[in-house]
Amino acid sequence: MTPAVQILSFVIFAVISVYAARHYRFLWNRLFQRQDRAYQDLAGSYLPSVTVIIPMHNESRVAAGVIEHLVDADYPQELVQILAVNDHSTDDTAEIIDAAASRYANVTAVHRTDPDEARGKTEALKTGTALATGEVILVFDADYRPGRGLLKRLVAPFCDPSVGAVMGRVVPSNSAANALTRLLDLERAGGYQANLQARQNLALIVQYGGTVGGARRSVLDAVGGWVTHLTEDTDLTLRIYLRGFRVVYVNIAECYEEVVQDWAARTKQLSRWAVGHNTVMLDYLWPTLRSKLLTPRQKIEGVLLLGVYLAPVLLLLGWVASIYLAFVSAGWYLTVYTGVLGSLSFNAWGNLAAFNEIGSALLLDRRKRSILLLPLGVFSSFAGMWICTGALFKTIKGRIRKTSVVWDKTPRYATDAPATPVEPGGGR
Amino acid sequence: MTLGYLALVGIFFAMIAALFAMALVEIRRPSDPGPLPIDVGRDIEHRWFARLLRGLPMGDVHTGDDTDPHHAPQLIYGAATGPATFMMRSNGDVPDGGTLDAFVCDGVATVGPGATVLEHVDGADGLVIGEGAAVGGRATSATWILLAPGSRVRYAAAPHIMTDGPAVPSDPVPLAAWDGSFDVDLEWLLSEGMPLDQALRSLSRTAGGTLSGIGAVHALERRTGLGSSTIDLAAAVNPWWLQDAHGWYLGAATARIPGDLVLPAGAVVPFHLIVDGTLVARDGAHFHGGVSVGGDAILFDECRVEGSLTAKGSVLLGDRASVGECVSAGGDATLGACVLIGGGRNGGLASTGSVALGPGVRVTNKIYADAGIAVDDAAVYSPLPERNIDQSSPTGTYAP
Repeated sequence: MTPAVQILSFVIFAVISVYAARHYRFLWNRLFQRQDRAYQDLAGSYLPSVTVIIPMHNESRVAAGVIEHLVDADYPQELVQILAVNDHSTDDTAEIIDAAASRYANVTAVHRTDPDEARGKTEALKTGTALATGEVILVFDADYRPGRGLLKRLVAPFCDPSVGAVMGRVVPSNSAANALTRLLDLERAGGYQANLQARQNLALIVQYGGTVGGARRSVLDAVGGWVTHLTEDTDLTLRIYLRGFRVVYVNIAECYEEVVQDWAARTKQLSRWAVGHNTVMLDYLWPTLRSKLLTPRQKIEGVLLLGVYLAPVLLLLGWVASIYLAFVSAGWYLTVYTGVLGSLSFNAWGNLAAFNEIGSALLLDRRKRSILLLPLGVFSSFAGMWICTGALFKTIKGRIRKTSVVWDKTPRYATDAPATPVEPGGGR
Repeated sequence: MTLGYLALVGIFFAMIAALFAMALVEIRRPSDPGPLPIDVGRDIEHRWFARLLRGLPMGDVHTGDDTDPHHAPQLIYGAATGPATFMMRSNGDVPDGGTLDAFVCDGVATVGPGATVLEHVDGADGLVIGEGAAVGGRATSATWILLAPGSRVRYAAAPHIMTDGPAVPSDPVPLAAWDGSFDVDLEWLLSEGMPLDQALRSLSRTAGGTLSGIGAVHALERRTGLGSSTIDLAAAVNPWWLQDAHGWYLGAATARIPGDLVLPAGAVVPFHLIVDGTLVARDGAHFHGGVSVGGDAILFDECRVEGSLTAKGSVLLGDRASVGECVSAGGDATLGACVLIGGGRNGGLASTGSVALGPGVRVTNKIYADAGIAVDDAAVYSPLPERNIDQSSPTGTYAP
């Protein structure tokens, strides 16, 4: 058995090394190379008609806020259609969006109440898209607080006809709530400020994240619209790239969101993402490898991206293998293996957003002292391993039994988003 | 196990413990108690500095006022007394050869020939940048900006930006919207083997105006399901010059060419076009949608793009060319005489290199260039590199 475990450990080591190299490449690019500005020099110069869809299910604590922010946007309101889609809410959401619709001419309240119809975010998006009149469809979750200039920033890349979708940066508004939110804040910083921006700079595959972003209507139609899926955003991203279009990340299009504040909700959320992502991997791995429209670099990145939630499982296997090898006295090899694997995995996989990227993102955001929190990411990293391993089994089980998608709604906390004025024209 | 080995392990664990201790201290008493600050109230405002300057205490800026006998409204500053920031409540000039830090006025601002504004200049009712004048930062106005030959600015933003020169030809006639009544005729013409661009011309003659190719392609997508799968151009919407080209129809009224593309004179492109390599379009080529180019984009005289033109490389627009929306250049942008940008709904020009403007150019909204904007009274539109274009095939290669 020992030789088999040694081979397995070498394979895992190789895979983790590839991921580590990928993250170090991103780090180098983000800190030292030329940055893509995502057409932001033309922000405000390109103003297509826009439909903003806000899917809502029991959002009474936050529904009014997101609509007020969008109505106040620095964008010609005659070009903006706001669709607040109430998806079977049982609280006051319906009354709140009806009141907003009566107050603002460009706000429409859409109610999904048929007890026999399918529920969930994707279904709400389908309903909204059927009513949309804009050339560009943007999506915001109900707990988001879009700033005045955000719409102009998000639509600017659509002046390029090769752009099928766009993604902005998400910043947690409740990062100060507890240790978990603080760690999730770091994860978001690494994931957006460093990882996504580097992928944009290197013309790899940029992920549409499902909110604070959107798609060109004609491209959305051409790729088959929204598909019911746990991670409809990753699914859409792949379909856009496989069709020959691309996604653009706009780092300066920042928007506050709430992150989950308790571990139970976090476990559900991460598990949902992992199951959804693994399903996308099973659906799109082969088409990605076969695509004539993706560059070789995009194909490699596509494969690594699709396997992103398998890596924690491999890590767990790697640790188990190392413990086994320790008992059978594998000698010097074990010391090197565990040492390097530990180092690489810490740098490349901690907290599910690479630690080195979190560090660079915090430097870029000028929050250097938050780097001190990085060691605590080990705990959420280990938690991530267990959750992702469980999610892999769920994916396989779902695949075999062909079970339908069950949507777990993320809880809302209704924290007030801060508004810190900065000097006009200035920026980070 | 030696004592040294144990010491090494001890030091290792002490370091880990120290790191965790610092993390625990930080999480209890965070230096960043709140989230990353975002200015949610911030607009995309080109004239922010003018607003900022007007908000400063009066003692911080020199003001010119019609009612103040010491500030002649037409001559606020001479070169002799050194740089300063000025605000005027009427028209104001920076005289020939003068130098200012910044200059804001409520009327028409004029930066005289050879004068320099080191930072920003704004004229609410209009702004004239004189011959050989230079602005180190933003030149903005709520109405219009006129750039004289030999002037240089870093950034220009106004509803109308123009260079001195011959009268600009009138805006191109907009395409007529696609009418569903043409659907059957279009399908019949295509079934007879007529390429889409020729079919469009034929239908346009009947309609008495040029019909939107994008509208026609969308109609075809709806009726024939072209958008449902990626198909080869040769099998569907195939203008004659692309019949033998290697490319894809992507759906969403968009075609993509993986290499370089040379379009013949007068070619009609009835959809959005993505060219992964270099694009060369000869005189009078007409793009009904937007154009995205992975390399350089070279459009000869009188080419017309209804949407936006974006290029990872340089952009060269020939005389009297027009772009309906925005132009984005990853390299330099050179505009010939009487080029019009933003003739459609809105517009703008951005370049990560320099921008060279010929005479009679008009740009809507703004021009931004990392390496500055220069206006030349000589022919900035240099002869196109004909000899470098392989004309043997519709998708010839171009070597810059």
